Amino acid sequence: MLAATSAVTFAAFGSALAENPLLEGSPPTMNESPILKGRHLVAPSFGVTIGDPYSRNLMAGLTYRYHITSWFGLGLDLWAGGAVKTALTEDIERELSRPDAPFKLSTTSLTALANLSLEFVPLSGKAMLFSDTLVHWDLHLMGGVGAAIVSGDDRIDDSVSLAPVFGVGMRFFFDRWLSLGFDLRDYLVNRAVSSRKDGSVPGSSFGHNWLFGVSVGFSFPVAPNPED
Amino acid sequence: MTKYRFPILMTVLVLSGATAAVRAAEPDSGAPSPTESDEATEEPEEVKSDLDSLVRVVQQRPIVKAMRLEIGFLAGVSTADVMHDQYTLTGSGRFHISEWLSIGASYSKYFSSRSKIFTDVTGDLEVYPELSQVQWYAGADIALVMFDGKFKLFDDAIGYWDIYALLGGGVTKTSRGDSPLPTGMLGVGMRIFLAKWLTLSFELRNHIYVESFNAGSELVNNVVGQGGITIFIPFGFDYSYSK
Repeated sequence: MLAATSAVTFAAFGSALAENPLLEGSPPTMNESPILKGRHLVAPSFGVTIGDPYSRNLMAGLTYRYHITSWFGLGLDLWAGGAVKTALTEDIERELSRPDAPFKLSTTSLTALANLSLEFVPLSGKAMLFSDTLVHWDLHLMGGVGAAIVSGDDRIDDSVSLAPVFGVGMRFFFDRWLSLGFDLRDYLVNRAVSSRKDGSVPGSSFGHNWLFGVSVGFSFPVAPNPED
Repeated sequence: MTKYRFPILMTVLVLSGATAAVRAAEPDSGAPSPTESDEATEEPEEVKSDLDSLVRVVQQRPIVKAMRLEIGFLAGVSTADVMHDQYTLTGSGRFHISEWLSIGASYSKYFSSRSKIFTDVTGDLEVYPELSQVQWYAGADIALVMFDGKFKLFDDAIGYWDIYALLGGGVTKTSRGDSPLPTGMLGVGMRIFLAKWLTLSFELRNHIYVESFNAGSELVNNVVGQGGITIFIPFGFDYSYSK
């Protein structure tokens, strides 16, 4: 399905270019002032995990990227934070509690995440915001591997887990050096999510942890070098 | 003299035609004979003039949406209830009033199955929660294009896209009652144009409604992520003004 969609996409774009035979063989863009190539990006971030059954993680982070080319970069991601109970956890504790025996569900949460990343930028270009302001933007795919520190609660011990990560995101450059980013990442973390009713803890297993983040990026050098 | 007028007139016409034919075959007077360097100079000038006709300071909009109908087919995932894995199939119709404003309507059919969390909660914790499966949603909305522009694909091709905000409302039917529930909707979407008439479309919608449980009413945020294709009708468009 993905291959068929990609084939249709390339065919459609190719046919549009063929409408101008005088431009055949010319690159799609010329005299670019690359917004990513050869620049460092430092982005403080705020994120929240989504789809959590028992505890939702609120995290602050820092992202570093260096783009070797306009379409490839590598870097480091760091996150740290804490958890809050979900409505499901509160409902379970209320249902299982007795006047003389309050019940507390033991859960785990993500305290810290750190990973090395590779980033691919298949799409980049320009857009008009409300037909008034020109912004550069890109859509990027990232993948990497790192570690997660998992905090246990009551019956479950703290642990450290290998954490592969995959994600997709978009950046909007409102200036040459300032950008706003949105990312959705999936951290695969090995942990037991909660204890059982009798207090026993099931074995750990790798599960998906979807982290949605918003970041403000600062790029250096401040002015990109135009291509030769 | 009269009998000689016609032959004289014919002679003048023939001579005039012959003279014109000879002149057309000769190069312009005063101009040197064409050489290879001249031919090489003329071709780039022709190419340049053709390029001038193609390139303008203000370009024509490559994709025109105004006064066109957009039919969409999308599939998605819903997050309304962690106890169920819910998937959606959506059909939509949208009429573009202008390049940045459109009105539309949609119908989403939901398909649900019990999730792993339901198995864990009922099995490990022996708690039996009140369930609310979404069955369908129908509503109307207004879309406002916030971003529109173009992008480079793998340094090889150029495509066109836009991002729009959605605001609307409708009704949601769940398993907890016979009457559909009034629902508000906020969302954001993105179109990538594969052709003048075909797009890849992605939307994130939040359907907000109040569900009644035995334990009390609860405000539900049913966030749906969906993607698919949309088709523009008519398939093409004409510009009002020449390039």
